[in-house]
Amino acid sequence: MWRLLWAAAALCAGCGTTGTTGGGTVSVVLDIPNAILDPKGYSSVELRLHGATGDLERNVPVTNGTFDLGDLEPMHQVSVDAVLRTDTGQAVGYGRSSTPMDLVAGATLTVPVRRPIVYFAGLISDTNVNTGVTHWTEAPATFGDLSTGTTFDGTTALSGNTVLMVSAGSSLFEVQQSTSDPNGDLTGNATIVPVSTGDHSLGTPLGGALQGAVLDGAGTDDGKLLLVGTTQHLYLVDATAGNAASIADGEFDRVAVVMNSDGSVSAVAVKGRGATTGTCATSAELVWVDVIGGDTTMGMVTSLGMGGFADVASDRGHAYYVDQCKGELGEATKSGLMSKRSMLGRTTALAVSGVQAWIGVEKPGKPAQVALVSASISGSDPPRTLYSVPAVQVVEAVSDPGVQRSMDADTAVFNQLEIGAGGDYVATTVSSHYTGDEIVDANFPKMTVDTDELRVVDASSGAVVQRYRGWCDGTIFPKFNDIPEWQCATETGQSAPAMNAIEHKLGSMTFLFGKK
Amino acid sequence: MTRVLVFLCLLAGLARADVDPKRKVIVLEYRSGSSAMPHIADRVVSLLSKDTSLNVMGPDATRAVYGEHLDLVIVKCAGEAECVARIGQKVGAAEVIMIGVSELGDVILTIQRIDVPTRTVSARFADSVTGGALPNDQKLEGYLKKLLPESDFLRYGIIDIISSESGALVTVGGQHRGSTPIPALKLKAPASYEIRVEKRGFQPFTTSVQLPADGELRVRANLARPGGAPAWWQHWYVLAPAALVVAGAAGGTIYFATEQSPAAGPLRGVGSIQ
Repeated sequence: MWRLLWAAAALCAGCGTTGTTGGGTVSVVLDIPNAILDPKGYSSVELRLHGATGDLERNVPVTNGTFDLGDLEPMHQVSVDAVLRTDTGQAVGYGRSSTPMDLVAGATLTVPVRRPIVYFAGLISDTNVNTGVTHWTEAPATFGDLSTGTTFDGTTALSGNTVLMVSAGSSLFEVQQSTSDPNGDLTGNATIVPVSTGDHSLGTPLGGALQGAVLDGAGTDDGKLLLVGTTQHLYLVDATAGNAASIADGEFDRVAVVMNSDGSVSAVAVKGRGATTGTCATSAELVWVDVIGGDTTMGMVTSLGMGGFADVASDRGHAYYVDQCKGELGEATKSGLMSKRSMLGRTTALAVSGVQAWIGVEKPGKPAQVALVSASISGSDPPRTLYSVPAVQVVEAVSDPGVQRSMDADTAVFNQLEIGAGGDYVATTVSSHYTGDEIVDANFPKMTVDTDELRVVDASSGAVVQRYRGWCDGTIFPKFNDIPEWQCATETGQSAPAMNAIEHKLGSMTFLFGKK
Repeated sequence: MTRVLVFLCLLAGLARADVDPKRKVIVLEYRSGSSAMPHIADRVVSLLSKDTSLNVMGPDATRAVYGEHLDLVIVKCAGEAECVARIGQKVGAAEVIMIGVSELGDVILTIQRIDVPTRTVSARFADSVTGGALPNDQKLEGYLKKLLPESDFLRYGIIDIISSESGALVTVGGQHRGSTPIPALKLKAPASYEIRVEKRGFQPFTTSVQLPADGELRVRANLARPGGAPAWWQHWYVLAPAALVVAGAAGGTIYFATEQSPAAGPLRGVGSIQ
């Protein structure tokens, strides 16, 4: 249970004794869970107040759980970001206010703060080597805590089998759904289970069942509403009341939730997203859905057009999209689309924080490459490449130490791109597919390999914080005299699950307070 | 896997430090019958982008500007400086980093730095490795630091300190920087700096900032007398629009409007973690 009590009267009395201000006191409460997942090791707080006319930033020391922000001018309708940092500047806690607040005398601004934890979930397959039959099953979601500096190894997991993780401000949810064995398709109704961000315990599943295989999710900053796209519907889930309502029909592959300035909620989504490999498909539809409340929740759908729409993102009441065929970043509103940046390459993933966008760019070729670039949304400065890497996987012969084969990816595609800790981190997940022909002279068999990798980088420099190859699955076609058994090697700076049993695909990834 | 031979030929005077640290540099790859050291050019691009402020274009980006026939032209050039420089000239680069991979028993890695205006090799590096072992990032960085001026690996950011009072003494990172008004300071980055602005009769202003590489911070120090109140134009929300027009190269300008005199503002901000 969160401890939200705030002795405002006592503090104001304390302030009164200082006799330093004539306008009164404003109090900022950083609300931590008071549980095992509390941020630890911080020595300062960085507070950013976003107002209509500009931003104000304060970086002040924390002493015995309190801090002094000095003097502040009154502001109205401010949103607040808070980052708890260690002496070395590492972010060990981050939080964001869910709604604009007034910075006025006597006000208490409460900002939930949590550790920067990234969660990822996906299926697992197991192939019987004797029969060649593959079985797909769900697996528990894994998480990595960036505040501890521990290398991800897959050993930290949540309870319950999960196919999709959704964050909504400081709230976290598992989406659970059955898997069809042996093809790995999601089947049956999906259910949503709240997860405590204080100790990772599971709550009572929400009422309502989602039809269709779940594809993507997003949540509002106050944790009250979730959007979930499936192969059949776009759902609005009321996490407080515990019900789900379909607000649009169709296959919604990428979704983002927009908090409008009038307090209403809209969704922007990519419907029928095309593959990002091969010829660029312009058959995706970008839709805007206004949520209509009342006795029955429903959506008013506006089609914004057809094109190569590959991803959507939103922040501070604005929605954005990328078009993989045009190489374009643009803003979406109910009344239409407005191109912001172009000539970006094959843009397939997007996350936005404030006026800055992070864009995933896929580069076909052999090996296929992926790049992460950042650009101001409306600026003219050239986009900055944070990384651009070829997808290469080395496999090694199990029984012949030192025998290795380097494979170049045929395809490398972004699955997710999200910003964590208010802009300190950017995380991506990438799926790569490799094929290798038989090399008779070397006794290398024909083989195919599929990998999923999570890469967390410093958002400003692109420096790698974590590289976790959560999934590596190969199929070997050995002939006479070929080396029959192979396993994936890890590169320097890359980690992998500590044991095969905890491997799973990275079909879903999210940060607490993540921005996509 | 053992390095058996290293050549280093830095032509005197050309690896000079007075070159533009943000100049446009393209990185190209030329292979002579060798598939060793795959993606070496991309790795060099990645390292240069991380370690320097150079405007670096790799083979893909260069191809997008130059045209699909880039690889044919590189092969025709066969590493010859004047020919390669013409590629750089066409894409508007100041320099070309040409990486060559060939095999003469061992795998030979050569890295040439070609000055586009003079069409000459300004620095050249070669390393020979048995088995075509991939040099790790640390080793590649070592190669590049031998090839490029030391100044390329120094990165800077800008702190612009504006005080409400003229004649206030400014101290940044423990060093006196003069009295306000002072010009914007170009400082090594990324780094954190303690800033102090003080003037007799006013509450001193202190803050700590994290200066990102190629970033720009604007710090407004509104000094106030004990018990006094700032004029209306000193309020941060009046000053904010002026700050927002400054566009930073990396991440935009971060605006610090910090009025720290406890008696100046009408509100006192206090906080707790609970």
